[in-house]
Amino acid sequence: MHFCHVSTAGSVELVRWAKSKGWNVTAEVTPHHLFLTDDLVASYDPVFKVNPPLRTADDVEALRAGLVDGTIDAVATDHAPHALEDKETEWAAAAFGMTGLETALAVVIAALTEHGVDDPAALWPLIADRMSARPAAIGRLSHQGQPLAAGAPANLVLVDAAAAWTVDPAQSASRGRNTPFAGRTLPARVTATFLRGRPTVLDGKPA
Amino acid sequence: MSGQNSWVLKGVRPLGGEPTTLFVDDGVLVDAEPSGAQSFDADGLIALPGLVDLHTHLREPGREDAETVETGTLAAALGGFTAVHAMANTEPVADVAGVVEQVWRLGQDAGHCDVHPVGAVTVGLRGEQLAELGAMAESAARVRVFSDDGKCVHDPMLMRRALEYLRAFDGVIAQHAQDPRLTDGAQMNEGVQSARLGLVG
Repeated sequence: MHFCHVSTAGSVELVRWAKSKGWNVTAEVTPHHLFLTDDLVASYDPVFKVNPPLRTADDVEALRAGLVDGTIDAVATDHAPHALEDKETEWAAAAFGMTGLETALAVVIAALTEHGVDDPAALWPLIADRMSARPAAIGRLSHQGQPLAAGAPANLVLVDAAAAWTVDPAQSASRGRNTPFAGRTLPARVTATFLRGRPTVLDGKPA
Repeated sequence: MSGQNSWVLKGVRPLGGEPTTLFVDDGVLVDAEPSGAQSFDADGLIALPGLVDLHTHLREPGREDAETVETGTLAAALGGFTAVHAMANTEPVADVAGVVEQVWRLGQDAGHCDVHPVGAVTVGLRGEQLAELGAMAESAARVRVFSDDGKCVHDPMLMRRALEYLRAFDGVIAQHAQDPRLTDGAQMNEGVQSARLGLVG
């Protein structure tokens, strides 16, 4: 059994307990739950309306700790694009959900760095495990998430760790403009992505 | 073999380690430089295995005004993903082989990343009757992850049957951790902020 987007300190504890019993459970967390808190809802801006909802700073801290210690196996985006008329309304009428595919890696790097995982020797292997190897294993994908070693399919991403960038919803390839990170400056950009050796992204643009 | 999918990636740092050169021969990582490979100056760039997303809403079929397989998977590639799992809450719901095969083929045609459709656990995500789990698993889409996502499977007997059934092909159920009775009408996290803002938690 796999648990989608765990979002509270209590649910991290429950997953930790279940794993300690030896049960076959796995769990995922979203980038936004690793970074944003319910204080943002005070703006009544529906871009921050999501299910499960944004939680408290204590929950964010517990989720980060759970991701680092392996209680939480994977990051999963819950990328949820919405048409403008469904999202840019009064709070109660707005659809739940946020986009996330284009910001996920940078947000996870930012969250882990804030949590003190800033040594590259710890950070990058952790990201490779939680955003590639383990989600591939949970999804039963034998051709994805493999180590970068001879014989593996050339599914890989090249990241410029020094390139900070500011999120502009108008620039997104997704039709959804509902990113909660609009205007934020995030670390690290994807320079290139290769799918079985074929570039899908080069120089940060569609190949 | 050589050509379009053969590369020499110079100066990359695999998982942030020491700079090295990675060789790709016809889509596969190899130890030595293949003939006819294209060169890519990757000086100082971190190399990671392509990212895999377990939880993506691509909205197609049904809400192509919000996202399509084409736009969603391009966004995924730009974010560093080489595979995404497309959730089942489309219109129609991905609860039969025909729908998951359609989404899988759209992903193949777009070519930005692998698209692995997630099958619904119950017909129409209604939580009453098991969907065609085996047919979706045996389809061209080879579905292995099943989820009713936001609707949740909250009938314990139905969940037990689904878990037993999935053992036949090593499938997995992804359950959204929520009880619908506890979250009826909820708008945000229940706590200090919900009390202050007057929103139901």
